[in-house]
Parts: sequence; C-alpha cells; structure tokens
Amino acid sequence: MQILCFAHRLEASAFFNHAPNKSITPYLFKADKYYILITGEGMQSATEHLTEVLATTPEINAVINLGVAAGNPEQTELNHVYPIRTLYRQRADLQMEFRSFTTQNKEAQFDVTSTETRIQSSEDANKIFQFSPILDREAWALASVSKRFKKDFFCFKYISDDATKEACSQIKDIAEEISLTLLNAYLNLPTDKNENTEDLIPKGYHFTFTQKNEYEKLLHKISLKKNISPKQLIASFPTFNAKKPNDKTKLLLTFMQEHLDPFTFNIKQRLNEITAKYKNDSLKVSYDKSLESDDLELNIKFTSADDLANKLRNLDSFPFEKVLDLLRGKNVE
Amino acid sequence: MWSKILIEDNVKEHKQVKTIVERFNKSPVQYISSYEDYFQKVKKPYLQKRSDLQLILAQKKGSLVKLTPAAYGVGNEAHYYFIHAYNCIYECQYCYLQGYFQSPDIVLFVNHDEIIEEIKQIYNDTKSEVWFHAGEFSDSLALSHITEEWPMYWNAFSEMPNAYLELRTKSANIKSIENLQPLKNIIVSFSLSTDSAIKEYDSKTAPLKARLSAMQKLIQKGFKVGIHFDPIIVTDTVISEYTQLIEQMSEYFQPKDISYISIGVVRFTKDVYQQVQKNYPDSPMLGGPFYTSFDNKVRYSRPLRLHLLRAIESQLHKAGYKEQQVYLCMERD
Repeated sequence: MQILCFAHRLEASAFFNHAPNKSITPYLFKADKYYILITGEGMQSATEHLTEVLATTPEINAVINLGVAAGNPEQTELNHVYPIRTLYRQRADLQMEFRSFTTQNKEAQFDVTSTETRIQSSEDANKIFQFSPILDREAWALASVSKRFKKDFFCFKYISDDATKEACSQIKDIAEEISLTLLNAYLNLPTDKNENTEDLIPKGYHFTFTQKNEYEKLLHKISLKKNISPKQLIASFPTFNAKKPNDKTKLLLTFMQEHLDPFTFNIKQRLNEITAKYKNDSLKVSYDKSLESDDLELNIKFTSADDLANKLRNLDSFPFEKVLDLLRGKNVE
Repeated sequence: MWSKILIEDNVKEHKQVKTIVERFNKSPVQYISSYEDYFQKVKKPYLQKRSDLQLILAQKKGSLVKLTPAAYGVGNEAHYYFIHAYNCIYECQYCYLQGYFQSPDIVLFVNHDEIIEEIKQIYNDTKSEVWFHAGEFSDSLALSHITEEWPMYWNAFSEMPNAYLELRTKSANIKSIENLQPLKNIIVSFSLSTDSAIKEYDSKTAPLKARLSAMQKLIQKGFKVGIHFDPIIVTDTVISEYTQLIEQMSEYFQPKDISYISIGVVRFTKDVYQQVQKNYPDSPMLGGPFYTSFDNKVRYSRPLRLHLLRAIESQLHKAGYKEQQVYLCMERD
C-alpha cells in the first residue's frame, strides 16, 4: 500500500476524484490502492503528519510526495512535472544540511532542496541552485521519515514558479490542472516490485530469524555468482533428507555455503577432520574459525603431572605443517 | 562533460585553469570563494557522477604530501602520496572513492608549485631513497592531456635522483608524457585486470589492449613502467584468466621491461563495501565469498586470498618475472 503526501488539499484534488475514498482523519484518506495524506506546509508539519501515520499503519510500504515547487528557469520548465532523484535541505540558518536522501526512482535526474523558510530573493535562490534546480518546503522531511521507517520513497514536483522571481504565483485557478498532471505522473510510475522474499522460502524448512537472514544473504550472493534468478537457484537445490525441518535447514545452509565458497568450505572441512581426531572429553585442539590467523588453541584437562604428560604426548602426531598449509591456502588441491 | 565548472577566485588567472576552461568551453563556469563551501557540503550520491558531474578548480590548502599506509609500494623505503586531485572520471565498481568522499565531483588542485616544494623539502630531509605516489585519490593520467601538470614534476624529479615518482593509471592516455625525457626515477604504472574484469567492473576506463599498447609505446621510448594486478576479483576461472593475461602481456613487452608488478586481492573498508552494495547491488563481484578480516576490512577468506596471490605470483615467475620484481600488496602475510 502506498501513501501519497501533498502539502495542500488542492494539489490532491484529482487523486480524490480518481478513486473513491473515505476520510480517516481530517487530513488522512483511504482509497482502494493508496492513502492520501495532507501534510500541511513546511518540514515540521510534514514530519509530524507522516510519522503519525507510518507509526500506526504498517501496511504502508511506499511514500510518494507530489506537489508544486519552484524551479531554476535555466534548468527547469514551468508547468512540467519532474521525478526527483536526491533531496537536500537548507536549514533555518540558511546553511545546507549535510544529510541527503535518494528516491527509489532510478530514472530521475533532478534534485530538490527543501527550505525551512520561503525563498524571497533571487540571491537566496541562486545559492540553492548550486545544489539543486528545484526548491520546495517538505520533500526532504518526508524522505527522512520514510527512511527512518524503512519505506520506499518517491517524489514528483510540478514547477509552478520561477524561483528567481520574488512573488509566488497563485495556483488556485490552475490547481485542478496541476493535480491532473501530478496524477498522470503518478499513474506512470514504474511498478518495479521486488520479489517477495516470503516467496523465496522453500517449503518444508523451518528457519530461525538468524537462519532466514543467512539464507537470504546466501541466496542473493549465489544468484549473483551464478547469474541466475533466486527462483532458478531454489529449483536447482537437491532434496535434503532429515527428520526435523530444522536439521533440513542446516543441511540446506551448509550446501549453500559450499556453493558460495567451495575453496574455503573445503579447507574448513579438512581442518575439522584433522582436529576431530584431537578432540575428546579432556583434550581439544581448535583453529581460528575466521581463518584469519595461524593460531591454534589447546584446551586440556588434567589431574596430575603424569596425566598432563600423557595427554601432551597424544599431540606428538598432530600434523602442524598440514594444518598451517591449509590455513595459508597452500597445497590445497 | 561537466554540468558546471566551479573556479576558486584565487586561481582564476592560473594558466592551467585557463587551459582547462578553454578546453571545456561549453560547460557553464561559476566563480566561488572556496571549494570547501561546495565540495562535500552535502552528501551527493556517488552515481550522480553519471549525469551531474561538476569540475572544481582550486588551490589545495593544508598538508599537500602525506605518508602512505603501511605495506605500500616496493621495498622498505619511505612512501608518500601527494594530493593534486580528488575523485576520478572513471567508475570502477570496487573503487574506494565511492565511500571515501561524500561527493563524486572532481576537484583539480592547480598549485603544483607548492606540492613540488613540499616534495623537495621531504626529499632534502630524507637521507635514503623515497617514493612519491600520485593517484591516491584520482587517476594520474586520465585528464593529464588537459591538465598538463606532469612536465613540472619531470623537471623537479630530474634534480632529485633518489626520489621516485609513481603515476598510476587505468587509462591509455599517455599524450602528456610520451614526449618528455624518460627518467629512471619516474615510473608510470598501469593497473591491469583480466579482459572480462575490465569489461564488467571498470566502466569508462581504457580497454586492456589499449593499456598494453600504451605501455609498449612508453617502454619503447625508454620509460620505466610498472604493473598493478590489483584488485584481483575471484571467479571460477580467475587463475587461468590471469595466466592468459600474462601471456597477452608478453606480446607487448618482456619481463625485463617491467620495473615491478604488485598483486592485490579485492578488499573494502566496511563503509566502501556498503556503498558498493548500494551502488551496484547486482554486481557479480558481490557474489564473491566475502568475510570480515583481521583488520575489519571486507575480504575473501585468508586461505583463498593467499592462494590467489601465490598462484598468480607463480604464473608470473613461470613467465620470467623475477622474485624481486613481484610484490604482494596490502597483505600482512
């Protein structure tokens, strides 16, 4: 579900007409496929309104800001809608905020700077044009809230004003036309939906939260490595036989780790085989699991000097050279 | 090429600035008081370099020459890098600049006389041989036919026989240096990867054959030339691909013609790795088996990277490169 954010109700008029909707609060409306939020003007108001809705409405997965803005006449055309790429902010002290946000729109090539106060002079506008050709009052704040809530963010700005001219034009008379233009931009928004990760969980497996994260990471990496889709990769998995779903999951993850990094997997297996021979209730040799060092660790329980000497004698046959070679990637073939 | 050229007031009469502005006479120019008011003032997404790249011409203030990190370059001499530019026109997917600077805009510093003075001072204070590297934050030759700074350095280094200058490049742009007098203490080093890696990961850089031809031309004119096999990116066939590359090199020059070859395996700081994931989420490189390593960088497992380094080093020795010509880069083992 998407939420469409407008500063003013007039900007949203075509959207109200486009789909039947019901009022949830005086500024929040719900239609079949989207919510409409009237945020009011300015970053403070936009932040408050969107935060309230996102905090209480988890079904929303994308935020789309649509509205009028002022443009640099040398780079933008009046009465055109521009998909926005990056959002900057000018603070109240007129310095630029370092933090910026980028929309999910990969085709967008125009940036916007949201200002705390209305720009009153061409001199002020020119300072901001160093960073973006479009100025508005809310977009950065909406992007910031969206990022905090991990929602996709898109933004479209209709250039209603020349930012170098002092007075803002009255848009009341042409509000309907502006809103229609914004509606067309919205309807043409590419629907580039990612595969739902739930669809990529194979049946018959039980994943803990950590295992699921690891599975998704491995799935993505192996798909890139093999240059196939995750679905194709899943289809290529063998069937694992285990009584418990959790054991099946462990086998699957081991299989995937081996596929991602056969070289390191092989080394770990051989190290495990070697160290298993020196592992019992009172003696254990282990290697650095990160494989980042040659360090070996010895844990030993003993009850007397003779007992210690006996147990240490067991290590006489430990193949140090072979282990060091493995840890250093030598003689592996 | 540039969406805008920003020029600091204090360098606008500089000869190099005039040449650059003349060369890019279609780009709009704006004069500014300090590049620091614009560069990295806001977080500008890295990939905006594709459509909105600004060129900034400025004077570098503060420290102009710095010590390199440990394990840098050949031998145990002192190694320094100097800062004559920030950022690069190329777009290599593994490039650390995407996480290092907060803007992809290119800054060219034109106060080379001051950089050279600082180099001379270090040279005079250092009793033994000392190296100076260009290209830590930028490609040394990519724009050099326009920036034309290297003749100044040639003059300086001709008077400092125990100081070595290394220019690093992924270009084949040798126009600005090929007619200079070769000096035994100036080495032009070319980063080489396999043909498929260059096509996949090194966007806008010179193709492999063009780099090899440029190297051949410089060698025939008597220049000292070095090679960096760095970064090596693992594939199922990486060793055989590097073997092919070494064979291909022999069609252009002989091992004796090469001053040194460094070998390094791809590695990232955590910040850069996150940027790579953000900027190139579908890159096959990310299908590689990366782990957090001993120094908190993201690398392949230690056995794998040592195996890769050793295997490629061995291929170089088989092809006739001597032990003292080959060194392993940025790896403690």
